[in-house]
This record gives sequence, structure tokens and C-alpha cells, in this order.
Amino acid sequence: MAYIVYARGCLIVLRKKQFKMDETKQEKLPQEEQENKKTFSRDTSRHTWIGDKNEIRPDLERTVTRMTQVLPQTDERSTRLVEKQRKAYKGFITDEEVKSAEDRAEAERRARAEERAARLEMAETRIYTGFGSGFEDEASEPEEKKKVRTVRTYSINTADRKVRGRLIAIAVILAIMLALDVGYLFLDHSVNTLPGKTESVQKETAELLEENEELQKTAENLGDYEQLKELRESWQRLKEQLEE
Amino acid sequence: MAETERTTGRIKISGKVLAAVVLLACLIIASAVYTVPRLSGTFKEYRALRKDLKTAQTERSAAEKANAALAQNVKEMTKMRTDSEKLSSQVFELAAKTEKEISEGKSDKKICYITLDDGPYRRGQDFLELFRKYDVKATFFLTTANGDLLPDQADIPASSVYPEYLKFGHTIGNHTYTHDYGTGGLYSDTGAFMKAVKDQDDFTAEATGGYRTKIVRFPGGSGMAGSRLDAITESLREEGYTWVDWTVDSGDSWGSDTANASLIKSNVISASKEQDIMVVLCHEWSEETLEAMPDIIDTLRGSGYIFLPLFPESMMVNK
Repeated sequence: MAYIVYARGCLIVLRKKQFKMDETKQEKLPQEEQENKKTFSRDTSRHTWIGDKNEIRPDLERTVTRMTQVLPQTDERSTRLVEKQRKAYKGFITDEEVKSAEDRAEAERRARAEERAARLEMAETRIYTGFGSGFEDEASEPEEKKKVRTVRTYSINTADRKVRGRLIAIAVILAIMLALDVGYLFLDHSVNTLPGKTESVQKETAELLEENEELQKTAENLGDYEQLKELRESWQRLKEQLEE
Repeated sequence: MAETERTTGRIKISGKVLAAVVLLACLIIASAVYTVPRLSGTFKEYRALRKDLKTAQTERSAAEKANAALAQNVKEMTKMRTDSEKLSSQVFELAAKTEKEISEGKSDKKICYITLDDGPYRRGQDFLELFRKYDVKATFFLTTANGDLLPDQADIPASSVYPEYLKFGHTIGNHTYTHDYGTGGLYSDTGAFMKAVKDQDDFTAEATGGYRTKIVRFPGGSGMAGSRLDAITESLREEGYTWVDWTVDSGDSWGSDTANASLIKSNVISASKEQDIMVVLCHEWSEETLEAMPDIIDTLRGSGYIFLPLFPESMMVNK
């Protein structure tokens, strides 16, 4: 009897240690040193296991016995009775539970590692566009190559409606500003050149008016248009009279 | 720089291109910040300057149109004047030929040269109007003896009316500058006569803008020159001048008590019966002549006379 009590007490202690170990393992997972290790050690109250994590630990392998009771299929009123699965005893940890806990921890570790790698990559990006997640094609290149060639490429996700909308809005604003700039330049240029043009036209007008005056004088010297016409006709008549 | 690559839903831009785009955007924004506050003022200034330019252009356009119209007018007038000159030359050639034919008895045409001496007078304008109305061309022998102003209208300079005679196709003759045929006057010395002729020639040229006549009429007639006539005519010939007297005296200078319109008319018409080519002496100052002239013209025209201005090639002009 005492032996049974003792064994049960040992199992309880073992379970508690198992949970404590899992928690410790979860905390240590982000550490890169631990991640790269192909083996792991686990402290128990009795010994430390060194070996492959996928191996089955002999110290944790045990046979779980479950008490079953044959129950009648139907009750007295011929109603089918469904056997209710008994839950596993919480005081014990099965190998499957340990395995699944390890898998979950491994998956979480990998996710964190990827996230960290992504963060590092983004931290190395000099200009963050804000329109998508930047990445480096050259990330996988050797360090020597990186130092020589510093060309970086940035990716803009135009498939994203939000990003595309922002791009279009900025382009429109810039186009309007550019149009204003160009318009101002044109106006400024015109303001500088128009007085010269006006002066030139006024000068031409003055020359034309001078020419006009000269023509007017010439016309006056020539006489009246009607008189000249009359004179020509008069000479024509005289000629005809003499020719008759 | 052509590192921009378009993939499905993504645009890959190299760092340099992106930096250039950002820099350009910054420049545009900076420029816009400078530009926008000044845009309104500049635009107002631009509009004002544009308005000025348009006004100047309109004025130039109007001046151009006026110039074009004037140039066209001057061109036409010049052509008409050239045509008139050509026609007058042709008329004088024909007249010279006709004179010859008349003198030879080969033509039944008659020619009348009406001459008016001692101008210019204000009355000369009335004669011009009359001749224009009757389509008659005459010869005006002008002198400056009356002074620089018209004797019958002192507010008009004599030189100002000279071009009027030419406008209507009349001939201006030289009646000497002084018209002084008294004792010690023009005929006392050949040199004095020639000086008076040349002075009048210069005056005429100045008053008309270059017209120089070669036909001289002796004040009082060539008979007044007496014994100096040959010397004077020789001097005239040497200087390229010709001279002319008259064949009919209208009698308008015979004195106010005898000269009247009917006498003048009678004198001219009676003479015309004997002459096929006649040079009629009249005076510009004579009101009676102006009165008689319409009847004279009508009568002579009815008799077949052609009224012509004198020309140096005429056989009536002494060379």
C-alpha cells in the first residue's frame, strides 16, 4: 500500500516538473542558440536526458492503463445507451500530449524566426516607400557582392486599391502643382517680354504713321483724285479732236 | 535607369529612380510654394500688358490699312498723272502736225491759243473755273511784278496759286520778274531782261516744285524791245528759251473807258474769221474778259476751233 502511495506521489511530482519544463522551453525558444541545437536536455528530478528530441525517451515511456467497464447497450426501455468516453486523467501526461506540445512550440519558434528575419530585412531597407513591404533581392547574395553593388529595388503593390488610390492622388496633386509652376513660368516670361513687344509694335506704328504723312503729302502734291481723272479725260478728248 | 519593371500588380523601382522621383516631387512642391502666392499678381500684370499690346496692335493695324489705302490712292493718282503727261505730249505732237497741215492748207481744223498776261490775280481762279467748265486749256504768262501777294486779294501769297494753273493742264509762261518796260527798264539792257526772265523762271520753279517754262512773253510785246530785240532774242535762244507774241488783241487793256465785254468779244470773233491759228491776248486782271469769255469760247468752238495751251514746239512760238 505504501508503495502504491509512493508511486502515485512520484507521478504527481513528475507531471508538475513536466509542465514546468514546458514553460521553460517556451521562454528559451526565441533564443537563437537554443533553436539551432539539434538536441536538447531536460532536467528531471532524477536525471538529464541528452539525445535526439525525436527519440522516445525511455524514462517518460509508460503504459497507461485505463479501467473499462462493460455497460449494457440499451436501458430498460430499450433506449440505446451511448458510452461516454472517459477523460484521461489529468495527473498524467501522455506521449501524444508531449509530442503535440513540442510541435506547437516548434511551429511558434519558426514563426517567430521568420518574423524576426522579416523585421531585420525591413530594418536594413533605407527608404521605406509606405506602399508595400520592401524586400531585397540581394539579401541572399554574399557580403562581398553587397558591398560592391548597392542597387536596391523597391516594390510598389499596385494591386492594392488603397496604394493605387494614394499614388493617383499624389500624381494628380503633383500634376496640378506642375501645371501651376509651368503657368507661372509662362506668365512671368510673358510679363518680361510683352513690354518689349508692345514697344516694338508702337515703334512700327509710329513709322507707319510717318510713312502715312509722307504719302498724304505726296497725294496732296499730286492733286485731287477727281481733278486728275478729269484732266486725263480732258487730254484724251483733245487728242481725239486733233485726230479726227 | 530603366530598372522599372512591371509585374503582375507590382512595380519594381530601383533606389536611384525612386530617389529621383522623390527629388523631383520635392522640387515641384517647393516651386509651387514659391509660385502660387505670386500667380494672381502676375496674371493681373500679364492681362494689363496684353491689353496694351492689343491696343498697340490695333493702332498698327489701322495705320497699316490707312497706309495701304493711301499708297493705292497715290499709285492710281500717279498713274493718272503719268497718263495725262503722256497724253499731253501726244496732243502737242498732234497739234504741231495739225498746225503744219493748217498752214499748208491740208486741214480745215482751227486752233485757238488763249493767253492771259500779268497774273497771278485772284481773278485767275475764276478764269480757271470757267475754263474747267468749258473744257478749255489756256496759257498764263505770270510775273512777280505785283509782289509776293495777290494784288486783288492781299492775304493770299502769289506763289500759292501757281500750282493751280498746272492742275488743270494749262501752260505757265514767263512774263519776266519785274514787268518793267518803261525807260531804263527791262529793254534798256539785254542782261537786265535776261535776269528778269531767269528770276521769274526760278520763282515759278520754286512755287510749283520744279516746273520750268521755256516760253517767254515780252512785257508789252516784243515790239517794246525796239532795237534790242535781236540781242534779247539771241540771248533767249542761247539760254534755251522761246518767245511768243499774239495775233489777236482782245482789247481788254485799252483802258477802262473803252474796254468792255462786247468789244473784247467782237475783237476776238472778228479776228477769228481771218485766222485759222490764232493767239489771243487777254489779261488775268480783266473782269470784262472774264465776262466775255463764255461767249468767245462758244462762238469759236462753234466755228470749229480747238482750244490748246501753248507749247514750245508750236509754230506760233518763236525759237
